[in-house]
Amino acid sequence: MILALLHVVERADFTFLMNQTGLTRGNLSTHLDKLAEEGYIEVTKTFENGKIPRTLVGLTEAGRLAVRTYRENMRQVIDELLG
Amino acid sequence: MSQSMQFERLMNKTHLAYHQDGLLDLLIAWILFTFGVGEATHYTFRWLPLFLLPVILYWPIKRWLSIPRFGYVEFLSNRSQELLLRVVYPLAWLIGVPVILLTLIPMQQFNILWLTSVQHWLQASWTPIIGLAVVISLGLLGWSMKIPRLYAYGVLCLLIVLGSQLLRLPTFVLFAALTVVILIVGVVLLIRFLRNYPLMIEGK
Repeated sequence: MILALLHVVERADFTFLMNQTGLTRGNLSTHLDKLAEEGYIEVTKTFENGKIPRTLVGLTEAGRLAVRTYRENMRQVIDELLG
Repeated sequence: MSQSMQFERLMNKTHLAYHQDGLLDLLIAWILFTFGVGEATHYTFRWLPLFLLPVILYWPIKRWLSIPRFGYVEFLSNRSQELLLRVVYPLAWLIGVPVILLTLIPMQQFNILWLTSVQHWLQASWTPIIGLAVVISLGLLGWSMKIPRLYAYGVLCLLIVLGSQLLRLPTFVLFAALTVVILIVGVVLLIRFLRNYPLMIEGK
């Protein structure tokens, strides 16, 4: 879900991902850490107006490739099941 | 349904959710209101600063009210759409500004016959022209921002234009009717947005 969301946008912050996925703060944080470790996402920490922290997340090239590969694999599986 | 269509749907859903705070509706309602007041008082240009005010304030309000609750997102740019908008927007200004000026500035003093007759025609057809301009603007905005309800506003505007032509109502009635509808939708969306998205600050 996180990768799918990030695939259709350029970048999004932590709050946006929390709202759209329905995950809790801790849960989302753990998922993001794992995805960052795998090199699928790039996490940038900034400060809005120099005060409010903002974590911006975007897919890396490896992440986009992983989503595309997953889509292709899923399509093949569905085609095989239907065909 | 293909996977690409599902991604397209997800992208449209995300776009729509981003604009479900009602701010855009309130902005449109305000612009229509100032146009309507300008029309009713026959001093369209005197109301121009009021017309520009929400355009200037839209992003600061969005950043202050909406983004801390909904979250920040940068959308992927659609190249073909961007190219088309780069052509359409300047074209709209190139056509719109001379038409408005031609309608409002008295042309008799220039003593150019065809210009005066064009002005008479414009003044006689002012309601359908301005109505059509609003319909096209709403349609373009809905298409570029992927917000289907703006198409509904466009259709409503078209119906009001046709109705006002049949009933021979003045132009400001068209603006007033549209403003009321869009204002109500905007306020409802804003209340729903504030209820659904409580303020969230990272790290707190």
